[in-house]
Amino acid sequence: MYQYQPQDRQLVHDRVRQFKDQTERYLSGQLTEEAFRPLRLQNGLYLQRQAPMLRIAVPYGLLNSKQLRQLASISRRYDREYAHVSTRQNFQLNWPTLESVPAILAELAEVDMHCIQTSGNCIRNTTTDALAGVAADELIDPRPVCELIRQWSTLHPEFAYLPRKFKIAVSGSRQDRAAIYAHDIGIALCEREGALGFRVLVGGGLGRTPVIGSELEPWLPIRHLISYLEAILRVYNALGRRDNKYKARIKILLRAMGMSAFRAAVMREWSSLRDGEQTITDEQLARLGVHFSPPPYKKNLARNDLPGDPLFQRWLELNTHAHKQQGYRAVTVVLKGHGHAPGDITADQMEWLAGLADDFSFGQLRTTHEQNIVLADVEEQHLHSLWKALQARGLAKSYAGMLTDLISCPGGDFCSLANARSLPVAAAIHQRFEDADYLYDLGPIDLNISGCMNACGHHHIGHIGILGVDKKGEEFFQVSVGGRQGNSAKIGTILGPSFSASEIPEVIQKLLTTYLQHRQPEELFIETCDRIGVAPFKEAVYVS
Amino acid sequence: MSLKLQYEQDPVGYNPDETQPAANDSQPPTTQRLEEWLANPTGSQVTLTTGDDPEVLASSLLSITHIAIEFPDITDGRGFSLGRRLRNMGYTGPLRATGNYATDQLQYLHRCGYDCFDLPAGVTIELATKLLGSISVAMQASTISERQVAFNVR
Repeated sequence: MYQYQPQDRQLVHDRVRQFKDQTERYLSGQLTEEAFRPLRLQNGLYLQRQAPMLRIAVPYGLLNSKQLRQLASISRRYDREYAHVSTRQNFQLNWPTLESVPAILAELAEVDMHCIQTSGNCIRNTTTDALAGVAADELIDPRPVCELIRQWSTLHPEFAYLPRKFKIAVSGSRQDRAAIYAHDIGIALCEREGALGFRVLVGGGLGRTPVIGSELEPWLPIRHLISYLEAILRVYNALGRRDNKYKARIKILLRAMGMSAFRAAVMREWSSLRDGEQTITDEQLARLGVHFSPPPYKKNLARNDLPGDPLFQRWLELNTHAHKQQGYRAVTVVLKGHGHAPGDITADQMEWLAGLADDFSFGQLRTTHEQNIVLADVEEQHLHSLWKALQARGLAKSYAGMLTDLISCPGGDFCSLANARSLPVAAAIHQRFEDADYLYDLGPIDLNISGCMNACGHHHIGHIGILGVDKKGEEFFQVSVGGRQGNSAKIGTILGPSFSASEIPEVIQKLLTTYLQHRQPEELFIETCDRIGVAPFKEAVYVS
Repeated sequence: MSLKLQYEQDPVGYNPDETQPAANDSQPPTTQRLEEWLANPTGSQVTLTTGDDPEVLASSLLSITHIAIEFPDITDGRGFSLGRRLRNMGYTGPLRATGNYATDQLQYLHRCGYDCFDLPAGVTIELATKLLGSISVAMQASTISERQVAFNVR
């Protein structure tokens, strides 16, 4: 992973000092609430229902065991001994005090971490495929490019007061696992005649107005990446709406201008930037690439005969992933289960997973946008020991990609924006669908829950999406089916009138039963949805 | 006029000490609003709002000796892009930030080409100078004016 250089460390150090000073000026009345608001937000600090929430950046989801141990330690001393993995691959602390934030930032800086731009109307943490650099289907390792974007976007003086937040995702594999169609900008790295380049999608996003991103540029050589991004951002900053925060994202600007006018504006801006000083050279990319060179893999490992224990075999099938390097697998540790919010991880678990990373995966871990943790470089012959270790802690029970590996926002229990509490719904689903054999038989199903229209749980792109809505002060939940992420990303179709929280498990059950009744051999839930359409699901839910 | 990218160069050469600002309590010049100037483009001192298109000044930039940008609101970031656009277009004269911007934005404004600041009421030159140098490194190219920074205290 990227090793901090002296200037990275200096920047974070300066930022800690700067925010301490800003907080002190705010607490002593020298800074108004209005002036302090964007400053705290750009340091990841929200004022929430119960307490402030602090969002800690994990650049494109990569962290090491030392950093995870520090997070555990911080959560013990400043919070309630747990943290939460967000859908932007960041960590969140739900209970710090405002006064303690400068001290937390200082302790994060000790391990090269920070909260810069994890919130606010600026360029947020760039995300990517959690299997970046190891996936068997990868064309180009996206991490050096993510790092390039991280550096360029960090404390960018021009783009800290955008009309609204701005999210960039990068993918380098055949199958998009970074939801690049659901981002303000999605970058797909690809080669043309042996030259590295990128395809640009723009205007994707979920929230109140879900939109699948459109192609702005089919291919440009990689040297233009930063100047081209800068041109897009400048057009957005100048022309994006600022009068209504629900109409301020770039997707709304794109719709208002139309693609050809938007593209023309970007080209006009880019003409003054292209081939300028931001041009990326092969040498710079190579220098960054060194940070992501493969760990010291053992070569020529023999294929292993792994134990035939059926529980282990199932975990192997669902929670481990094909690896570029022969003899290795990537392992998903699913942070979902009964009794806690999806993505929650206790201080004990953090310390313990840090130890597993040291023992089995070169001391590195990844956070995923599905709110899980990945150990990316595990030797096949160690998989059984790793599984046993995870099993002993109850972390091998949940299967990756199955119904109960659901994505959920923190909802109304924590978030002041939410209309409804998403966590009790997640818990009820966990309770209802506990039978591992049944879940396995259902096969992969993405279930996403958002507590409000802001769609932090990405409900639009769930195979089954659940959205909390407020009806005259009461919580209700709208259900959609047929959404998906990936190369054929699509927004789900709303079934009809919403349900109360207590009805949801039964509604899900009816959707699943409908699928099982209609499915053809080997057909996945989402494929059945496509073949039979929404009508049978609607009927099952509303008529029977 | 501008910085190298971090990934292009060894430690970035952004040193706030090199641009030590000087106090300047002289009154800023009287400017014309852009509409007035467009009606009769003979004056050399213009005030833009953050929503104005700088292209309308393109053919006259050489004869303009002072540009002020009036910020309506601290969350309105258009002025940052406007500053960089004007500098990229070749404007080298004073570029003044006025109106409702935040003191904690001084360094970003400076890096977007501003070199003259009407300080918000109650802000001292000492505080402004400190904030101008809050972060001592830069990770991306910017458009720093070669002119010495001037503060107008209100």
